[in-house]
Amino acid sequence: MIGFLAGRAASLALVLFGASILIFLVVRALPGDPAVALMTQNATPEMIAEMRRTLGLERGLPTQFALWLGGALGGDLGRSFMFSMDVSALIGERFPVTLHLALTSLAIALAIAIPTGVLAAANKGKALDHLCRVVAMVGISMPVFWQGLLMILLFAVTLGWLPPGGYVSPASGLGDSFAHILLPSVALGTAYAATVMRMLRASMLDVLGREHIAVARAHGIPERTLVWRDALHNAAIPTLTAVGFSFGYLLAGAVLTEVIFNLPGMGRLLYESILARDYPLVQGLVLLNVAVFVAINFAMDALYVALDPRIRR
Amino acid sequence: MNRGKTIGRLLGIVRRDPLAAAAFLFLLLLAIAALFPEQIAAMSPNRPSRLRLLPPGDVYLFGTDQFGRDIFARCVHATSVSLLVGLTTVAIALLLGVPLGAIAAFRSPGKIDSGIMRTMDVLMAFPPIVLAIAVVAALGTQDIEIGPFTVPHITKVMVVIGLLNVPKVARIVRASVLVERNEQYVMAARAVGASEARVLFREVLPNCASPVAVYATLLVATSILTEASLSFLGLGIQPPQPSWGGMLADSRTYVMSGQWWLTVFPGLLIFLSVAAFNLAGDLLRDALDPAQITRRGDA
Amino acid sequence: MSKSNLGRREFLGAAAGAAAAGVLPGAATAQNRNTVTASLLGNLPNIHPWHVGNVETAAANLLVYSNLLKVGPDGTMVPDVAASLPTISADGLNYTFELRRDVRFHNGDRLTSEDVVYSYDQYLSTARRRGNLRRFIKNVTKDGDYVVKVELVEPWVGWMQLMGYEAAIVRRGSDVVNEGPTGENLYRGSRMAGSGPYIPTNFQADVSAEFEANPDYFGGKPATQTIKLLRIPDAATQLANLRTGTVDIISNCPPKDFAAMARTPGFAGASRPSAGIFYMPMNTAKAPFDNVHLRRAVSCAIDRDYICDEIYSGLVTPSALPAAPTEFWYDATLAKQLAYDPDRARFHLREAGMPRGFAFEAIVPAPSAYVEAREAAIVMQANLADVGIRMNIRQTDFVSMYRSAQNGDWQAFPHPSMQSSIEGYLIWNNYHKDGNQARWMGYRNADFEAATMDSFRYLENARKMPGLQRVSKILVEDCPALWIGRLNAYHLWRADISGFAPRYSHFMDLTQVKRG
Repeated sequence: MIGFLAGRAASLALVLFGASILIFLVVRALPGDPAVALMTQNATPEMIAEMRRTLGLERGLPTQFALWLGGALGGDLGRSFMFSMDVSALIGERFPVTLHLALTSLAIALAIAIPTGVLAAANKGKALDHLCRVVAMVGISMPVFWQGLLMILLFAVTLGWLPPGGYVSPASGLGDSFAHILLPSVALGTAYAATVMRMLRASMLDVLGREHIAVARAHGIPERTLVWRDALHNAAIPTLTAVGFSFGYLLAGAVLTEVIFNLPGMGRLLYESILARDYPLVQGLVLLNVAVFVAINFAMDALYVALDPRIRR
Repeated sequence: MNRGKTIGRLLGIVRRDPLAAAAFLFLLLLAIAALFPEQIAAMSPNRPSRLRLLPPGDVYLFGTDQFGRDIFARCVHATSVSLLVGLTTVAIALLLGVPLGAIAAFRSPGKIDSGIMRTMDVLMAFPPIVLAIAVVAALGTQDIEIGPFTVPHITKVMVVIGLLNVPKVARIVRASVLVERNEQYVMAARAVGASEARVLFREVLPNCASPVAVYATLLVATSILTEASLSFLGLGIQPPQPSWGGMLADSRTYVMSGQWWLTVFPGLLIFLSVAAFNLAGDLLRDALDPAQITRRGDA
Repeated sequence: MSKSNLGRREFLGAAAGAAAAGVLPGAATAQNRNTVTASLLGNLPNIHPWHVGNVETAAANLLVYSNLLKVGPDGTMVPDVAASLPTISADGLNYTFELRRDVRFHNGDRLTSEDVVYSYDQYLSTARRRGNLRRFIKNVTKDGDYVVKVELVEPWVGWMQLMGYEAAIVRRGSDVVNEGPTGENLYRGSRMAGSGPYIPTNFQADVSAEFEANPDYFGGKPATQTIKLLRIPDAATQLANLRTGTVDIISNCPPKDFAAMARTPGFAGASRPSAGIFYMPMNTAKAPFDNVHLRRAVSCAIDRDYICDEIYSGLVTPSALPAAPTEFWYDATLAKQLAYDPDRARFHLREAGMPRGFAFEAIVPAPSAYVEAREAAIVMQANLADVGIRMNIRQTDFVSMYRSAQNGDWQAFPHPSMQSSIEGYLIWNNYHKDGNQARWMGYRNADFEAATMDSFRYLENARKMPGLQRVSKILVEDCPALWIGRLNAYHLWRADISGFAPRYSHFMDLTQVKRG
């Protein structure tokens, strides 16, 4: 098992390196010039050339890449063109917001998905199953910006229960912080709940149909135990895949949720940095996303191994 | 598993499950709307008029939007675009994702497996909406002419959204195949000397159909919504052509000012189609998975 | 079992806390009577004296910095650090400013002519957004501690407006190039660069900025102790924040919501004409718009009243000319030639030898500032289709657009644009051979250039008129752009806010704002 995980860890470095090349090329494939982005359409060709020199863009691509990668290895992700500040400092400000949002959203998604998924599977074909499935679909079939605006209208403007947006860190008051993060988390969480719920229901049905469950049932083990302990445990593996990468996406930041609820997270920053062709910032943010994602994958693989010894072989 | 039996089983299930029957009926209606929009909606979907923001009524079934356009006509004309986006992207994702995931699982652990899966990891690690923004920004929102062929912008959108979903499909397929390949029936097939490819495509994959079918039907929904998000950012289907997601994005500022019909009708259509696709997907899964029926015995 | 119950209780407790906190935003504003919070739609990347993120964020700039002259609410120049308006030499080339003697920077240093010279030199060599102003301004020198002289290359009064709009005076030696992370080289510790009514105390890039009143401000201590600027990147959400009391003033809202909100008890709002314009430059160097008849056909096919009054709810004032109908240089007779008239559009199509129309591509910015350009584009597309012209919409972000512009790879670009002045800047910048954007607009006309430079000599409207009349006439004849209308500046605020109103230069002036 340790060997498996060590091998897996080694390949992560490779993924990060591959991703860094890809990021570097993707941002430069965007039409438009960061120098022009900073100066607007009034810039003369001479001013653009000068600005490109200031930003270090006149060097060849391999040199630029080597410089960036060298810096990144030492923890220096460069300086944002748009904000004139260190990329790592900006990320330091934004990542906690995104992490907070992702964790709360995940909690809400699981709180909806696990009970509805299990109940739906246990009552397959009955009214409760249909109800659970339809309810779970409401979240995924509403664009987050629509759902978000409706919730702001209802809970913030009409009822006045919750603030319409903005972010308050848990450090400056748990209740206030929770009130600010709740609506965006519901908007995001309900969308992910559907994915998780359906994967769980499908896996549960698979497991419930298998022989060992039938044998257990024949031995008189109560249905409730079968469903909630044995089946749920076995169905967890494929569902974890869905949960894992959902979480990865949540951590990448949710551009539209952050815009609608005015959360200063990484998604919004990434979108702005793409618009401004802020190469160091785009590269830094995406690299962090990749790293987080890779880490989640690794954690999931480790969990697989723990949950399903057959994988070790 | 021959075709006649599948259809027969499908019909049987439809009889027992009225909700699924309703879903199929709705999808049929959508297909008709997608194929014959002009026959269903008499008004022009794209012509602005001075009759702005009329609530739903006899003439304008769904009311009119901020440009005085008939929302019913726009919803109907958007059907083909939105369905096309949903279905094509899923097709692209499945076409590439299923074989990649299956091959990776069958060669696991090994170089091919790690090669495929690490590439998928790299792609999957990119935030999807950002990758979509980047690709659409790089290619532009205009139609592209390659020699005599014109690639419309909508095709680019579909390919981009489809490709974004390949890694997810691959991962799900790989996870299922990893579990399945240790089952007894696979061992049995191997024991009688079936080739690797045969075992994979004839024995293992059909048994992985259920998670894939479930995920694919979810993908229809997320694809339609991804197009909506791109429209929110101005990168989706270009005006005046309507899409459900685009209609929602265009009228988002009316959510708070009381003109509910601008967003509710396209939103409802997205919800109903997503629900219908998912219910149909469940049905398909039951029909495709004979083992399921014999195992459970109650279908 | 007991464990999950505990979890449930905790959850309910947290939910109750959330509900209690929900009433807080309104309560908080009531408590802090000495704080005013305003929100911006645009990016808030820094509080640099001239590298502002966009026109909106100049609101921050105005709080912190002073200038020789300021642009007043109606667009006329008013003295700021200068004791009075400058004396201008007869040839229009030399400007002399007498400075106030009571101006101090935030760190206590006295502001002298040396600071002004330093700042203007820095501005002229590092300003990014206005292109090469050295074409107009030869040099800025001092004559003693409190006199500054500005020498121009050619007579142009508009420079004061342009520089009053965004250039600002910083303490000499301030590192305006490497302002440092979050601008600490300009603001922190002893390095206070500004001399404006407020001192920045807190800044989070792209999120918020906080300012405290400067007790030693030469214009007197401001009425409000603390001003907060929040960035809220969605117009509908800005409105929700105003309604819930999270912010007191919003820079922007969807145009259709403006009038109703301004009438709502507890809220107020106002709009006024600004220096902004909604127009569609056409690439006169390239087919199809190298044909003047096709440009005029487009202009006559557009129903400006519908776009401005209906789609933008009257917050864009329709005009077929660059001048607004209320402005001194508007000419109703000329405007008729380009006004909405589908028959005339068809006539021009016949004249161009394309009676059945033609197709072109319009690059529409998304997202766009001030108003959504896409909405006008949808109407224009239908208007043009009526006369047989096919307008393909291609939405793209501004930077992609700039690239297309720089490469000459564009046909038409409908967009809202904020200017320091239309008659004092845009006509030169877009269509004079030395103008920054003229390089890619493709338009050249020597008579036009002469007329523009004529009008640029004078400060008084009456003396500008002859030149501007010729400018209007040539612009109507050559029709290098489709003029749709002029943008109005409009803001909404809570009714207990005073000392605040929309301005000609569009961005918010919060320097006089107070509660009650």
